[in-house]
Amino acid sequence: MSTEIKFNEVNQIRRRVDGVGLVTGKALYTDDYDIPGMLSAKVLRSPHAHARIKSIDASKARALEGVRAVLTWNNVPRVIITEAGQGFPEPSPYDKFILDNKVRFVGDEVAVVAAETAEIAEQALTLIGVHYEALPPIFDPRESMKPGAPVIHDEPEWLIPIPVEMDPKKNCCGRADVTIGDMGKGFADADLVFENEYENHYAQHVTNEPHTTISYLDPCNRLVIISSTQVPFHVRRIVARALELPVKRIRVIKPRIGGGFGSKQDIVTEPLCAALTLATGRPVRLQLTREEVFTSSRTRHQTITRLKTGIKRDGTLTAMEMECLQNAGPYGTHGLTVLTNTGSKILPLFRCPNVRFNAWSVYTNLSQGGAYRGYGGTQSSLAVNIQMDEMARAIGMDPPDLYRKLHIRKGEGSPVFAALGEGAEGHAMTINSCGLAECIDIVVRESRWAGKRNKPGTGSIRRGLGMAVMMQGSSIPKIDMASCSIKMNEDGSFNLLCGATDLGTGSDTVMAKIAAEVLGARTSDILVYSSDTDLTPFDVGAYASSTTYLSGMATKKCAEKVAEQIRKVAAEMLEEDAARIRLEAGKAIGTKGEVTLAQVGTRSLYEKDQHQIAAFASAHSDQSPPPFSAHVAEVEVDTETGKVTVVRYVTATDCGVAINPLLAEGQVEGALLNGISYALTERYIYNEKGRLLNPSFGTYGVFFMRDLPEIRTFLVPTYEPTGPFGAKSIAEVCINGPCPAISNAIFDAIGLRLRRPPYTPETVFHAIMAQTLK
Amino acid sequence: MKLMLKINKTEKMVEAEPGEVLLHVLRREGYKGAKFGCGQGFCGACTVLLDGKPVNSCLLLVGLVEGREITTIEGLGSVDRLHPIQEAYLDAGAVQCGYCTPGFVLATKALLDEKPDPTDGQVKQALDGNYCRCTGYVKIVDAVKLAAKRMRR
Amino acid sequence: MAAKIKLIHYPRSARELTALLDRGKGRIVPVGGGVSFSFSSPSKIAELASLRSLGLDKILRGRNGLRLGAMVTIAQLAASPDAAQFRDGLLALAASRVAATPNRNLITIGGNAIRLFIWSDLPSVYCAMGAVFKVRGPNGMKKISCDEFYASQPLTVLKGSEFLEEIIVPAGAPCSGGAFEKFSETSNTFALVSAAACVTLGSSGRCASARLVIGGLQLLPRVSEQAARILEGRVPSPELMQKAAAAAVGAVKMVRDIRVSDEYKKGLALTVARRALEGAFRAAGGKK
Repeated sequence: MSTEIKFNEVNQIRRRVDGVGLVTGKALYTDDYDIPGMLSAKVLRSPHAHARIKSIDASKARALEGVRAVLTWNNVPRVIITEAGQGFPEPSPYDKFILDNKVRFVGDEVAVVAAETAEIAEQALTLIGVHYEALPPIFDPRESMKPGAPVIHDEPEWLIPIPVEMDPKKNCCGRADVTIGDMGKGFADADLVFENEYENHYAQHVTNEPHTTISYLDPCNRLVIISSTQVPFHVRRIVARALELPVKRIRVIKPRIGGGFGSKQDIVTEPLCAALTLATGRPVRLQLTREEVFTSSRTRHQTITRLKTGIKRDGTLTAMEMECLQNAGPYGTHGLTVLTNTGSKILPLFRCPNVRFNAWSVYTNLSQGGAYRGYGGTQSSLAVNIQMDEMARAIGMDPPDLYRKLHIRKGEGSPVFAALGEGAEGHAMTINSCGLAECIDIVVRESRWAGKRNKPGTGSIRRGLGMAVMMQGSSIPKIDMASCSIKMNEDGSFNLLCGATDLGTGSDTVMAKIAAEVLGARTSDILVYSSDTDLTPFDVGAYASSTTYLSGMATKKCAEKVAEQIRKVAAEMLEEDAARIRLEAGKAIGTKGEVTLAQVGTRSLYEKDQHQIAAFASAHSDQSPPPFSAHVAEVEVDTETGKVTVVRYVTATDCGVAINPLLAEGQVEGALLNGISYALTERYIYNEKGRLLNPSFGTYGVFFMRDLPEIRTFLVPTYEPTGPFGAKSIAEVCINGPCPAISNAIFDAIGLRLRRPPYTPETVFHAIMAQTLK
Repeated sequence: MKLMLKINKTEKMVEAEPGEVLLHVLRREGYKGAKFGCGQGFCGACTVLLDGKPVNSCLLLVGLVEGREITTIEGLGSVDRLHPIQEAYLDAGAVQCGYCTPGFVLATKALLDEKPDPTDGQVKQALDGNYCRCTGYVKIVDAVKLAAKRMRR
Repeated sequence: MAAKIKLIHYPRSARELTALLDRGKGRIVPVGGGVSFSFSSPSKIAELASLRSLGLDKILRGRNGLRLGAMVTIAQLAASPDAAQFRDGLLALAASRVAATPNRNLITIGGNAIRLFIWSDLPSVYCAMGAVFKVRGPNGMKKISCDEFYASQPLTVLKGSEFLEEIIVPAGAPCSGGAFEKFSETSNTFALVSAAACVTLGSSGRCASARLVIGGLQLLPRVSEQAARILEGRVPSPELMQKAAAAAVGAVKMVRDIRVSDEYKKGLALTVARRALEGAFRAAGGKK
């Protein structure tokens, strides 16, 4: 269904409002700020995966010339927190001290130094003497909950601030068990039952910019934090708690950010940087090295999924049971919510009367899981879409037809929405917009599916096509909140202040376009300033694909209030009824005449009944309307080496109305390429002591230009009535496609089913050899 | 030690140890467009042009660049006058977080100076040392082709 | 971290350079692009002597082969028309696949030849092509064969005040062919395996010489005696090439690669080496 609404600014091609600073290198990222007297900070990290700190001697480090502070667990506040950037109360366990007398993974923070130069700080680290008592570690999540397993979190202060089931004594930091219908009956009704285990692996976001924070005391003795963060308001609250300061004493400013993808949705470097500023009274800069970003920031949660599905020969699903074991790592940031999203972001997609989601999140001593684009949806999409391909072949149905038959439609709901929320109960929802059928048609056509599928060829290079469909959400219903304020200037321009966090996604531009559309102005007349906890109103931050949908809604509401005030002034000027005035092309146009927005602005500020035309609005939703996407991957498999090359990748995505079409496509393409390298090469390689062996671009396989396959991107317009101008989200959904689509394409090429990405050359080759030997 | 550097066609005396890498010296001197991404010559966020060719300034000892031409992003266009390559990147939607953008723009300049009408393969080869996680590279290729087309006119 | 380098010299002649190195007694070392020094340098190195002013940045095509000055960058080599036309363009091809553009613009072939890593490609190609390394020292100039140059880490082969001036790659015999194959998981991660093969066919269609070097398995590039023994004097066939590749791989003492199992790497090396031999014989056959 295409929309025939014509917009002036929304859905039109416009340059991004902040583009000039970015292409000239003038825009300021955290490390670009020069503050006189700034100290450099370095972190001492644990060489052990699991150990108690019996003693720390920092005296030699403190004595080194140029060292201004050394912090250990002995001289920082002992307050238990979570570093998860989520709304309060956070659905993540409070299981971390900013510095502790226990370490729980190789790379965990042990001490931190501030010194006049980075070199001196590095040297000081070598002078800190630590005596560890090594403890037995857990590296396999299957071992975490077994009786007798070492307890990773035995601190008495451990707590979970929401009423959910977690048992740290059993290393369990997340639990969900939801049943809809009657599973026994469901499986009994099936003609065929499929059951397999799938596994997602560890991966890193590999943002271009490493995590960086600067903190300093301003002239009013307030702590100012400039940080590369997706969640400035959560930073403020959590740092306040960790350092025992009142929230009002802290200001957090988000500058330009060099990518996040979820890795900066946690409070990673801010607490220690701020603690050093408090200890020294001086500005401090803490920037992670690339290696530290790999070892000690955040990762995608490794998850083992057992999926059992009952299906009839006509393609009707009778039962779907998903059991997940998630490796949270050493701290439970986002464990529970990624876990529940693993269920909620795919189970409603296909109509099925009997559904069970039974899942655990457990602690281990490997890398720390956190938010990562896709957020559980990536994990379950792998399992479900591979099984769909399997089932389709078994019943003799073409996968597109099976998807067409089963997918949720506009006007329908799913009991899963109400049953499975973000670590809590969910919220019932009816789908108001769904272009998935058209998405499927487009990718089938553009990939030349019918002509190329089931034709692997002969010879050592084989070809195949595979499909996947997916959905995500748009913000977290009833939990997320966004707000916006707008004021009018005398020349008909507007200042828009919003909490929404642009991490490169272009949200500043989206907000500007939405406001411009309402106000009858041009996008370039809207001056956006975002994400400063003193100046901009609250926003949870950039995650859960919430910015366009929810922050955009706040902006629209705010702009509408401003528009009303403009019409009122124009009505006086035109001696007309305000209701008959419309705002368009920079003017307020009545039936009898018109005035420019500039004239309205000037009059309101200077001339008559002077007042500031301005408004403020918040938005909060009980819906999370899903974007939908369909993908087809075409691959080539070199059977002599096992190397899989993606030749072509076609996507079609329904994000409602695309506020910014070029940037919406850019979100698809970025998510996609990330998903492809995640499917093929990205992986964490540990030694037997839990140390990461490949924390570098040279050995961790992300894609560069020469790896780029042919990519074709289509946007399918629909209209989401609950979204601003019909918009939904698009930021995450497409990363969920490549793992299953490529697996299905590999099957088409060589007849082997791979359920554990990455499908590295060795993995594929091994599978081929194993088959040959049979 | 005092070193004379030629940055963006201007001679500049800087205070630096010859063994420091150019990235740190540039940033200290106010050229913030070159960024730290890995410090190991992989990601290209620190790209500058050395005698017109893109190099990783995080691998370049400042003592080795005396007498050579260094071009940073600050030497290409300005906020009030963008270079056509910068315009093309904006128009093609090739800029998201922008951290990689100065490096890509400089590498593009070097490419188009040598090959005003590059094939897709030549574009990918010339920009193969610049990492982007946001765009998936698709619109960056579009931007380079757009810039080439416009600059040929 | 900045290296503790305090001074960089720009000697204007080879004599001036060797005198500097001699005087420095290990504290002063030659530098090309300087890339490896930006990572780390032994703390005793306080000064560098740049080769920039010695006129070593040229590629010269002569009757006897191709002369590569030590200061030629890898990018120059990759783009050189002389290199592209020389012996199936092997050098240009291998150079174009080293790392990425900004690295190739900075790394010199001299620095790259001396500072060896397990993933270095060009040293394998030099050995397969039978290159000779022209080294200059206080006692004059000497030419070192690739076997000798890579008998151990070249940093230890060169005496303290010697420097690499030039790499001379001899012209190929008639009916010779070369090929280079490289395998990596992505274009920018370190290669898993590479192989360079140079072969010559005699008038009877028999292999007159076969030089196969497999890279990525061990640090030092070695021309495989085993492959040569199997191929030389025989008519090359797919089975023979497979056997030669297997023998070459089997003789290598592999260094553990964290990314893949030894078993897979061995099999991969076999395939890559075999493909290089096939390519080389194909190129040689095309010249009859």
